[in-house]
Amino acid sequence: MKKLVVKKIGLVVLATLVISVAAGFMVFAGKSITIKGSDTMLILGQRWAEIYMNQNPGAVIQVTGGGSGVGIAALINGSTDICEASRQMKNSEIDKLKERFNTTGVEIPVARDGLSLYLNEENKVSELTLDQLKGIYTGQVTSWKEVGGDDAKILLYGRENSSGTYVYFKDNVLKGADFSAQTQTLPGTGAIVNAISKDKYGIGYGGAAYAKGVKYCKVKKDAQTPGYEPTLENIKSGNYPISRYLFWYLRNKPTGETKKLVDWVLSEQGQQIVSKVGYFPVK
Amino acid sequence: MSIKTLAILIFSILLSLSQSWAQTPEDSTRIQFQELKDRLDGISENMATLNSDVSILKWVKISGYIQARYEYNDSSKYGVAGGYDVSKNLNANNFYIRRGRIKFTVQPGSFSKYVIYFDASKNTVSLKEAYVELYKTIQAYNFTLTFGQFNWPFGYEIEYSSSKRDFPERSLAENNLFKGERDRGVNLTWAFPKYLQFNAGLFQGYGIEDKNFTWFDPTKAKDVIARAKAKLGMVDVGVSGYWGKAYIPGSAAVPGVTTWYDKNGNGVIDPDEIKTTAPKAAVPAVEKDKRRYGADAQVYLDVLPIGGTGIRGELYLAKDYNKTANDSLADEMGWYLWLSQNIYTKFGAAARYDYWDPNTDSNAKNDATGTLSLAFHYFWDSYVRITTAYDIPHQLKESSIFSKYSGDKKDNRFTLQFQFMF
Repeated sequence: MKKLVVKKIGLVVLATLVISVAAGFMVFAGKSITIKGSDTMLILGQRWAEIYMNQNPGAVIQVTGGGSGVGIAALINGSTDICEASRQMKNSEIDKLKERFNTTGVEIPVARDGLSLYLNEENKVSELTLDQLKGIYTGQVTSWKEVGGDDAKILLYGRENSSGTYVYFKDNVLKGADFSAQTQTLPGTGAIVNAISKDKYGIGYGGAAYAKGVKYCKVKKDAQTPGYEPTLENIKSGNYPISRYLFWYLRNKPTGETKKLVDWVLSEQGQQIVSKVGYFPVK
Repeated sequence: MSIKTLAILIFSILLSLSQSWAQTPEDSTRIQFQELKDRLDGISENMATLNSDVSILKWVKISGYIQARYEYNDSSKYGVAGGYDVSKNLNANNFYIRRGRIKFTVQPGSFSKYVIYFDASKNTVSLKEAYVELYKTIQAYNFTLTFGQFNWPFGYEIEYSSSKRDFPERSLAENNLFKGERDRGVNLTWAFPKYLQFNAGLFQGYGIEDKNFTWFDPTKAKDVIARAKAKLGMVDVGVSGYWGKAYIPGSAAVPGVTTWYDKNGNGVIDPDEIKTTAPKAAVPAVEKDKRRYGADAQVYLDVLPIGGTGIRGELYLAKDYNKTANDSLADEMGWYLWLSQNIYTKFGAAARYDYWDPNTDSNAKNDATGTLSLAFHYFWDSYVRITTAYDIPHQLKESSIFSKYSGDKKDNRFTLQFQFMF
């Protein structure tokens, strides 16, 4: 009986090894790299992919958006190799990664971004404190008059809750409080900028890469400090109060083609593309 | 009408017609533009209503999984017990649905969540969970209050979903001490960002699968559970405690009885023809202390090129009502060590040694069990996992956890499982 059990265990172990080796061959054959996640990072990811594929004719990289939450979910269920996220992974998401892949994930900051506040060019208001922003987006401040503008209702624009930008803004500006129910959610920073360009009394937030046709709202830490725009100098110096890292997340330490891509993205050339797209390099 | 008047009239008509012809393209464009604008405004209004309706649908999330299973047991025999009791099947080789779960989660905002969770397996449908969760952030601390029927916040294994676990079933200790994994009560969780989490709760104490106390608690005081968990990067550790009461039912008084029977028919009751049973006093129901303590640790390593490695271990120590010795309490102990290895994204392999001793004070009973389990997974896609598992239970000598009791049963089990999760 004992011998039989040992034989059975041996067979299971052997089968596991054989299948693992076969799996290895299957995985490495015809490998393409998939990148999914943050809409804020979509253009940046696409630019990286285009240039990298031009320089490496054998490489195949597919980049899609959907939001940081969607990208992280894809990383957890194994349907993407790299997740682009404009926020850090939550504990609950890391727990899911541990359950499915026995790993805590690998976090790689690939760019920096000043989370920008947008106003219509005709709006008299040009700067707001963090407290005023919190008041506006939680619905406690409803008229521009209360913050030095016209006697007109403030129209709020924001991102959908699958967006990393939404989560970052909620955590760091609203300090965990809920958005006003009046906030109109739009799919992407581009849509927000477009809406504000047509809406004199609108306000919205998003990534710096999409700032066209509207003006930046200067942000002040408090009433005593000056307001700053999300420029490279202001973000690097720490004067601009709502800047963040943009991340790539992987399940495991990168190897092979993925490592080559990550190294390139962090190289001087990869970081130059970051600046060209409108974000700020990490190196 | 004079010729002059007629000429003026014709001239006026021609003039007005010429003006009207001259304005037609502009007016027409303006009218068309206005029509288009009105249509667009109408569509925008409809879109706004639609967005509002769809955003409500986003509150609702439906998830679940199905585990269809085939089990081959060494202990299987042909027929039913005694040849007639169809409720006691001797064969254990079966195709069946081990778990068929569906969960409805409604989260209308960041402040509350509502969950109702059903299981349909074999031939029954049961309510697994139904609870309300309220969230509040105070400074950097996140508080969660859970009220209803939900997982006991004890240890690591209880809250670990069966859809993610490598092995077909949880450890023997967990199955004996926390059968059903859920109870009715209230729990407060407070989390310090990223690293620390504490739980404290009050519970009925009998769980959702107790056959005697299906929904009510015979003990007045509620059971208390507390847990602390620390997340330290690649290592998570936790300790748990459970303080409650075990209810031991009493018995009614039994009067003494004297009976006689004139066996030899001589008309005289002889002393040996009289039988007397002594009366029994009533035994009152009593409460006994019920204690459970646990410690758990999980380590996640990213060292092998084929994928992540997880090492998980948990220890259970308990003092609990001993079902085999009516009114006594027994010291119990269980632990497991679980090794899990991902093989790229498509495969996974795991091994677990699971030890359970329901009575650590008794050295004679040979009632401890050690089970070695091996599992292998193939992830068909993001939704389907195919698992083969082999369990090898051993009845152990108390003196050594690795030496088999000579009367070890023939009870190894092979499981093939297809799981669909959404």
